[in-house]
Amino acid sequence: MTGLRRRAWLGVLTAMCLCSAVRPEVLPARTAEFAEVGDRVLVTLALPELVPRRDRDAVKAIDSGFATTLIFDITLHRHGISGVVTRTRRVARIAYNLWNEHYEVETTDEGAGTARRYFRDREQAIRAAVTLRSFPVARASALGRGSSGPYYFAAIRALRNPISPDSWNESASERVRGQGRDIRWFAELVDLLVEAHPLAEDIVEVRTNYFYLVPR
Amino acid sequence: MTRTLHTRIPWWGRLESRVVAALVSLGILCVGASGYLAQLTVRYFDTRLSVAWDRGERVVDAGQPLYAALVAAQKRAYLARTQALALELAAVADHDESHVRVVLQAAIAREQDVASITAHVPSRAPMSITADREAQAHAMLLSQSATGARIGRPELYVVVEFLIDTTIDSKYQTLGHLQREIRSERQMQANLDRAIFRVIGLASALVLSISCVIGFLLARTTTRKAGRLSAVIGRVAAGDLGARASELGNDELGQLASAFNHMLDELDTAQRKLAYLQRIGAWQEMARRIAHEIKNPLTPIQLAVQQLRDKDPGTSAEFSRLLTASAEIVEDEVEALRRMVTSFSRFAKVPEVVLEPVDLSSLLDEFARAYGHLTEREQDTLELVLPSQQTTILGDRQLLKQVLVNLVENAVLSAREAAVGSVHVRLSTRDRATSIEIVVEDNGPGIAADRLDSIFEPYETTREHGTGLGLAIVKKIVLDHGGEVHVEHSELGGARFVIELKRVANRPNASS
Repeated sequence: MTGLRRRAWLGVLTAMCLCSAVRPEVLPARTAEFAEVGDRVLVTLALPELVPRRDRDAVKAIDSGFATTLIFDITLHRHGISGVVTRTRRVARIAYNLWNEHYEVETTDEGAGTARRYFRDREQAIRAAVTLRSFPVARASALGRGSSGPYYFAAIRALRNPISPDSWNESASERVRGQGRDIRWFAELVDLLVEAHPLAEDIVEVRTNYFYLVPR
Repeated sequence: MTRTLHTRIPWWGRLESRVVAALVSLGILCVGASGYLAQLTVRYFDTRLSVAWDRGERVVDAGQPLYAALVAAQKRAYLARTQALALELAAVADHDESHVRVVLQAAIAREQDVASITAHVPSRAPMSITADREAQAHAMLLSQSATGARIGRPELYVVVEFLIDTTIDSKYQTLGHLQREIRSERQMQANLDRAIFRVIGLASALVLSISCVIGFLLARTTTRKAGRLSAVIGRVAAGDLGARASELGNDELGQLASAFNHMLDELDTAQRKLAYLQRIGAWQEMARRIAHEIKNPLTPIQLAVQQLRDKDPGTSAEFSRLLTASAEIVEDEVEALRRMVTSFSRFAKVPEVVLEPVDLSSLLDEFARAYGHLTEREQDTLELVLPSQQTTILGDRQLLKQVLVNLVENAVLSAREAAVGSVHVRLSTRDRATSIEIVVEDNGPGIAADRLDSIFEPYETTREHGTGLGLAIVKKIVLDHGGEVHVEHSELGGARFVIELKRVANRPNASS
């Protein structure tokens, strides 16, 4: 093998490595409805896979009266430009109230306060909890207009019952010297080598279709 | 043997490689055993943890129906209290409206966990009364209704709102939170186990690597010392007796090198002594033969000269003077030859040393008394410094006196030849750890630095009338005693002869 061919092979390998490193994002696409009401851009989207019916443990947890927390992190992106245009969050809490014998869905939107709804039917309650209905994702005045662009899309990352950070760090201040310090280092090393830290019981990540604001 | 010492050992046969291999094997064994024990420990605690989690989950599972039962019981109690209130209202339903209000106010004042009461009395507008309680803001509301059907007044209808402390509910939610944490920890356990084993593996590899490096360095240091010592031994085996091992520290190898160097020093000294004695022996043999060959014709020559002098006819005065002068010359030379032969004979017949314990003080005292005449001139001084304590040496009393005579005589004669005026000879002793030194020094001309090594060789002399045998005899006698003699410059201005002899340990009560 000549030096030239060897360099060519090395070039191909390097290119493959670079290509694998910069591969495009592969979030599954989901059709969502966007509407402009006043100065707000609203999105309507359901994520039923966040609390699937087949997940008996999840359903049983809701029926038992334990609250199930759902966190939706919604980011708005502009097509062709990296970075986030806006970022917002919804926290939904669904639980069966044994006293009043109904399902309660409590939603807290960032900057919009808390709303509470009651359902006799579990399916309706779950559907209400996993659906972003007319959820404000951005101010229309902050976005560009025109059918030829700019185009936007939203990325949603939903977590069911997020797992709180390791309680190991709660008493870290007590382990600053001696064997406690060694244990802390050991724990940090173990954390570093853990293959995957679960963030929640279940995570759903999708991206929406593109939309644009109609010119006025 | 020399070839064997210089043969290059293959790397697998070297001590360094073997020590490193042994250390690495030992390290692997220890780290492996520790790792296996750590793995067992992790597995063991995993099992115990799983058991604890099972129990925790069972506790949570048991808490769920308990909470449901608690809620149901509480609700039944609320219903009963509502029905009791309906009964109270039924009793006053036919009275004035104010009576109904009084009953409601009394009930809401009596029941601390009631938020509001609404009474639907027949043929009257619904009457509602609400409690003004701070607790309402932090409580859950539960509506309970009761009718008067059971008491024959189905048209009577009462709705009571109870305040429920949310603390119970929040505690129940905490239970659910714990259940989720237990489940997530369980899911994490396999990952954690793998991570812990990786940490242990990395730590073991690190420890093993450090151990290997340290072991290699230690082994290399040790075996290099051994290699250097081996190289010196090889040089000595090849005949280089001047080779010495360098400083190898204070460990066993260092001690071995010191002992080896000491052995070589002793060997060198012994070789030099042996060579000197061999040379002296050869000179003694030659002196004996020369003395024998010269001594035999001296007497006939002397007799012949005497006869010539006796047979002088006296006819010629001039002839007589010539004869007498010639005869005197011949007789003088014969006498000189006789003295030389006597010296040769004395040198050739130095007796064997017979060792016995000798008290050094008495030996020196005897010498001073017997040979004080060596410095008989008034201006000459023989200074005797006796040892401060009783000192016993192993020696031959007569031969040691002979040594002192030779040295003092040599000192006196040298000083006189050099015409130093007052001759000062000092005879003293010096204590050493295992030996005693007898020191004879003078204020004579001393010995030139280039002659310090050859002064004890036979027939080496600078004196006009010296034979060069006195110091050779001194050294032979001292060497026969197992001692050493050397010469150095004296503070008196001349030479200082130092005789080192082994001392005998003083016995207790030796003087008595």
